[in-house]
Amino acid sequence: MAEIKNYKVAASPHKLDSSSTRRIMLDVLIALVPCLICGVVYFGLCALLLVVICMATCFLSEQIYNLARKKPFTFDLSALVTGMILGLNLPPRAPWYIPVIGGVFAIIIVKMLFGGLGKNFANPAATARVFLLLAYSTVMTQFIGANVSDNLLSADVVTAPTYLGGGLDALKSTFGGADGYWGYVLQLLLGAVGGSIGETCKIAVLAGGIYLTARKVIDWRIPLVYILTSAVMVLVCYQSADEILLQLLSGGLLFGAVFMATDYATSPKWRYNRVLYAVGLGVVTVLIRRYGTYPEGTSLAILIMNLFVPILDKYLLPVRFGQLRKSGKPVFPVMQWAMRAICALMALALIIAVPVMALQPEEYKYVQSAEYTAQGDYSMEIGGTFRIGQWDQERAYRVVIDAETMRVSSIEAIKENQYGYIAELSLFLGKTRSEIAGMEGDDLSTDSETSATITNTALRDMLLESFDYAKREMEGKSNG
Amino acid sequence: MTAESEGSFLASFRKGVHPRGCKELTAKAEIGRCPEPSCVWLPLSQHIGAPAVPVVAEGERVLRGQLIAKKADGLSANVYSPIAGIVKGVTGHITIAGKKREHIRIENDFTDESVSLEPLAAIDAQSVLGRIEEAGIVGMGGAGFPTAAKLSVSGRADVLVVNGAECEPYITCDERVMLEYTDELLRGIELAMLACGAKEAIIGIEKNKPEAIDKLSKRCSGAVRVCPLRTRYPQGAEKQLIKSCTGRAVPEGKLPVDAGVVVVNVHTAFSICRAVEENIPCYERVMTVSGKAVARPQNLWVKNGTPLKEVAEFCGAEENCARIVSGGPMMGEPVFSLKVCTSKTMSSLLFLDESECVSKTASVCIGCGRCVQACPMGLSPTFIEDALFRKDYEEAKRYGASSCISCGCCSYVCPAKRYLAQSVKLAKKIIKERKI
Repeated sequence: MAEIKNYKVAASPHKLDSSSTRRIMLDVLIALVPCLICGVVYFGLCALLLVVICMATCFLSEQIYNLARKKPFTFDLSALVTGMILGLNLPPRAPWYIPVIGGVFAIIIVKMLFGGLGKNFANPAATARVFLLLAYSTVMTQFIGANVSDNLLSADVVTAPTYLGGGLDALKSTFGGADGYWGYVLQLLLGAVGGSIGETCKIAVLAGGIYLTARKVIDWRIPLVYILTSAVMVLVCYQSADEILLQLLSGGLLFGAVFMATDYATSPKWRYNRVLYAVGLGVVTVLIRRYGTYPEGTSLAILIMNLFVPILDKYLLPVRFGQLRKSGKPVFPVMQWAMRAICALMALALIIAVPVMALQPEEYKYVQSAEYTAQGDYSMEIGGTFRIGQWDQERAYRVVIDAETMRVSSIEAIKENQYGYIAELSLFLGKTRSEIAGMEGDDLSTDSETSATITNTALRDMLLESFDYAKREMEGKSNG
Repeated sequence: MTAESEGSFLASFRKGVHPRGCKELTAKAEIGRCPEPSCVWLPLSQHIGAPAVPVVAEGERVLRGQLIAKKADGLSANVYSPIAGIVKGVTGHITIAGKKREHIRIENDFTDESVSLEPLAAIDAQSVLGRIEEAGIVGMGGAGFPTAAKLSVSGRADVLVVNGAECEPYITCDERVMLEYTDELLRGIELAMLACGAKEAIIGIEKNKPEAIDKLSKRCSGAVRVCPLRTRYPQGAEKQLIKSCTGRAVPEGKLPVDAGVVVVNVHTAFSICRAVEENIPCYERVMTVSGKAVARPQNLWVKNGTPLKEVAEFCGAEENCARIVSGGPMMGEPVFSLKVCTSKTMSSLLFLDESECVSKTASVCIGCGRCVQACPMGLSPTFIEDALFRKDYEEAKRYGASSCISCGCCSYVCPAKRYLAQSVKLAKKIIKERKI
């Protein structure tokens, strides 16, 4: 038409939000940087190399796929995000081919074969991790301990257990001045434990999550409800209030909740569907951890819940403005209120159950009976069954703890020496709880005979519990 | 009532978006007057419904305020001459939508001789309604629904909601009308209440216009009250405004009157007062000319039928700017030619430079779900688009395509810059045409 000069015509709206796909992906990369830094600090430059290999593999596989299918190259950074998340999910001393295989699997098989960005039905990083876990189980469960100075330039594999695999033995009994329970929590929170590169330091994960929430990149509902549901499930499945923090802070739960469960393409679109999805994640994760063969269930839970997303999106729709039922009455937003009610109930359950469970007298594993001596000191009979040498052996001792100094004043054996190996009682005499708790390795043995170490370790654990018992008794006395 | 005006508990609908206001360009500028155009092209269809029928012949001399086209049967509205001059015939001329439509062309003789409507003998519901119809008043917020038809609800509405939300960025004409013609506006609201039989009137104003809220709250009394609203787009959309002001939800597929509410724009109410008290029909309006490519952004009285070119020249607008938009940047139509003329419904003309508008290229949907969170009607735009591309219109309807109000929130928030609003609009059109 003659009237058209150089006016540019475009469809409304003419003003747009400043967000873009690339900016969102960049935000996720920025949010992952603290995790990467902590991973490198705890596990050395080898870990950095793994992450870089993984990112490079992911980027290259996407471009090679584009080239093969004669599609334009994509520079939306999404492959780098997948690569970084997968890289941070790997054990710190995995061989070089693990990130390569994982990256190719994540990008080519999980993402590109289903149509590329936004079309994949499962989270590429979570699926690749599960695949690697099945295909290379040994390598993928070989974690090393966190050690800032030793790990920096080393590539040695000195396997160390994780809390999920090895229980409390995997954790140091004192950490940063706090011992016992809060020591465990503190080391899990700071990430000074064995685990995958990026997921050990919870502070870094939380920082990334807060950044993403502030930038409105992720919906806070998914991580929050995931964590809340997991907490309730842990309470139900483990019957212990103490276990909640230990479970939430170990393994990849937090990392998965912030970075993997919130993946756009594979999480529901409507906010209340997201709540339902997160509840499902929490339930499945804890069930796998508690009753499954694998110690860690986050990736598997994310993969399973991803499969439900299309059906949630299809049939659970937001109630439209002024929507009417066939009878002419307004539609009640059932889903919305149901999800709110579930979350409120779970929060309420936690608030009520945690103090109630914490108040219950603790069950003691070793303390058999206790009484006060004439001087007011604690005299306890402790005993248990330990595997010493080749056999399960019953051991029992009588220990007296001085009430004033809180030191071991005497230990005598009641039952010992079934098949040899006698604990060195003198090692513990006159020591406080923290001194005993600090005894590790060589401290526990005066000769090189390992079985003596084991015997002494057993005694140490029993003594620690007697101290806890005495302390609780004392607190109970002063309170009541 | 007072809780609504305090702090963060402002009345609002749910969801929506919050684009930057950009109203500071013109918010403080008093309403000026655009110089008389030398020639006007008056569209016969400045409203929803049938085009008006011309009642003047070529060569005839008309005065300002003289009827030149009479409303057709059914839904339609009268058209009056905004200037004194000679009728040059009924000719085809392009409209903002890009189609050639019949316009009456009048050449200005600059005598500015005028006639006015007969004063009303008595002011009652019937006579006011008759006057609104006679004066050719239509909804001046943009839709252009004939106001007389809207107000003839035979007592089914008990609340009149006055739309002063002005949620679109840049536009300030309603704000200026509220500030400069406060008393006329309030009298217009009372007349509109009389005409539709409403017992109460609520003026909904977004919180970003504190002066207007303040001034109107002080002046209004009795059955009229001001409801400050949260600054949120699309606060001024009919159903959202009703929800915010009264808490009532208009049922899907029904009209506001089914919820007992009638909505009029502040400029419409002001025009009603002018028509009843000053006997001036609807032939001019206040328009905002704004944008960074305008040297003198301002609010202007503009006669209907003025070519946009003259408005642009008066305000010193850069014609070759990035984009020219009639209406707000969220729902406004792009202007492809400055030969297009103003009408009763054109509330603003924006000359946007590169920093203010985006030339976007759609990329693949990443499934972030922001469109679902933003849609004020509770639709799922991304799934509607998906269904549309698969030609599965049943599915598109199930996701709510028929309820779309074309506010454009989905396109606004989309990080992949997809044309979601257009897709949903198309799906809605197909569903309607094929009666799915």
